[in-house]
Amino acid sequence: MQSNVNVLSIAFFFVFMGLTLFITYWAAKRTSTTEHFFAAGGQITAWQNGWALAGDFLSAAALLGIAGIITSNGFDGMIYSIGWLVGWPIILFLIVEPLRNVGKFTFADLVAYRLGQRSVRSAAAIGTLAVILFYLIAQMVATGSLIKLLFGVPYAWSVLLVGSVMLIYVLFGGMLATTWVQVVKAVLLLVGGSILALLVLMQFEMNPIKLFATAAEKFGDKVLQPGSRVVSGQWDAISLGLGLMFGTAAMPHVLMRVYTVKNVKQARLSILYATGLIGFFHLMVFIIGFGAMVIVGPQAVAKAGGGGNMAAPLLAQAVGGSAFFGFICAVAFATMLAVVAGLTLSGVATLCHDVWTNVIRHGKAEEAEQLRVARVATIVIAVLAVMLGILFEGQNVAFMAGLAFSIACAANFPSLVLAIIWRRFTTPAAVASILVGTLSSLVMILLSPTVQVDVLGKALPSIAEAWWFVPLKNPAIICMPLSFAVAIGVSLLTTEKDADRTFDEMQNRILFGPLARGNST
Amino acid sequence: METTGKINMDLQLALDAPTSATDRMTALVRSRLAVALLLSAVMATIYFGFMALFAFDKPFLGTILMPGLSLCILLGPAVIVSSFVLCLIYVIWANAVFDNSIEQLRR
Repeated sequence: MQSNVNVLSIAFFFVFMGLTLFITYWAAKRTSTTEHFFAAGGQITAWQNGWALAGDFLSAAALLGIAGIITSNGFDGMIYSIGWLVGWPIILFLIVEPLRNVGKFTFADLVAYRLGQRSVRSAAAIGTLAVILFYLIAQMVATGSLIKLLFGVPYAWSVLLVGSVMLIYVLFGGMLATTWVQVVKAVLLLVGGSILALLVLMQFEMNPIKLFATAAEKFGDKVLQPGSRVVSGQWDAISLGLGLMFGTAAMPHVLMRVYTVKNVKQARLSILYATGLIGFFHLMVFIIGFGAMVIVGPQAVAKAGGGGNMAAPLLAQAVGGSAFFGFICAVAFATMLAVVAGLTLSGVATLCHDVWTNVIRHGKAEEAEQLRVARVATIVIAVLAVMLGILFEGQNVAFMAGLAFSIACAANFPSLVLAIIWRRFTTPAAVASILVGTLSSLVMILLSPTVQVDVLGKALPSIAEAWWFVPLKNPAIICMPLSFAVAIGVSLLTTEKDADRTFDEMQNRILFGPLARGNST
Repeated sequence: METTGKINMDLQLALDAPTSATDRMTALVRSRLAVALLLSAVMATIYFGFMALFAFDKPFLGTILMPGLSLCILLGPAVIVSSFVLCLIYVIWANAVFDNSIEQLRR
């Protein structure tokens, strides 16, 4: 690919930038309190929020990464699509109502409700920030390499560009601007993805099975069968599944969106819409991946660079010409911006609301001060994201994201669930469980082939015998049960009268919301 | 089915006038938790059933049913569709049954 600089894609890109910056300008005038900055004043409708959730969650990995994996490996790419969806019902069933009715801006609001505010929030902040930074790295790396391919801009400048634009959205427009950027992006992504899938299917009599059959004729039945190149190892597959399912259910930037709607009914509905939109999109990506395999070919995709990430754009070029290529590239760019903005905002909420307001200032900080801290935190996270994005150039996107999910499921999910359903849960248990979940995930990733072989470039046989070597690429299967065990063990060893006493009060609040009457009979 | 009966019983208890508000609330909390855990268990069973086949019985999951269709290509999308259907069931239950009970209790 020499002449990637496509006038139309640059035009689409500027139209999108113009529109989103206008939205930010409009939103900035309406963002004067923390309630607006972090939760858009609770004024988003369920339908808008459903689209925004889809826009928040469907990352570059979902379109470019998975399509690329399917193009080169066939069915196996779908393991990621499925895993990223099955966590949504868990959020809906177990988490939405308690979170919406008890919390304010972050998931730590719910975990810390009955427990020691400062210690639980400090621990939760560590878990949350670890998740967000890992996921931000994945997004930044994808963004940098794609823009480099599209516009010929050097990698570091691409990362810097995305970091700066995202900074403008979040810094000035807060949650309101971020929400609308996500809605616009989700509409573009779903429309673009559907048209692409439709154009592919038109070549196969609108019958996906014809498409799969052609793929099998060209490349053998193995593309329709599960293989072991994408996920190697039996327990690694189960571990990946755990990480994707329960990690999704504990992703801070997703959980944060339950606060942007008016009430719990709207929150519930928005999760339902999001699940439908995301599920539909993943089915489209499946068609797109196989379409790229048959129409473009795995070799051409591999030759285009970017670790297979160019499958979807190249397919767009092949079936829809250069105008459509430009459109899909611009959509991919919008996708990255929206996800990065959402992640940053949830990181800012943690730093400002949990760390500054509740830990450092004991819950007594002026509105103006909180907003100032939020804006400083936005700049800090944006700078960090750009620096780490440049540092981690060349890593596989879908795979890096998988690691973020493993940490989310081990560090956040156990304490979240136990805080909701278990009366005996105590402060030391919550802190221990979050810290053990985070640390064990990080250590296991550090000692796994992911870092040792892929990042540090050591030969697998030379370290496979070492006593510290961890053969799992995805640590969830060890770290999540460990975190649960620590939480339960420490709870049983400690007692906390206040936490016990306020359990009924919290249950009452879960049912009736914050403004309900007390539990008087 | 036994669980469904139990949930309905709890709900009935929650709505019965003579019991105290606290009892009705406890019953309501319990019925919501039962539905939530039941549906979560169904989702986890479907997903980890699929992942267990993927991990431990690849040849079975790779069974070619007809040209262009293998078992995994049928089951994969089925898992995706089933997660949406489970969400739909919960939202219908929550909006129709659960929210009404809360409204009654709130009064």
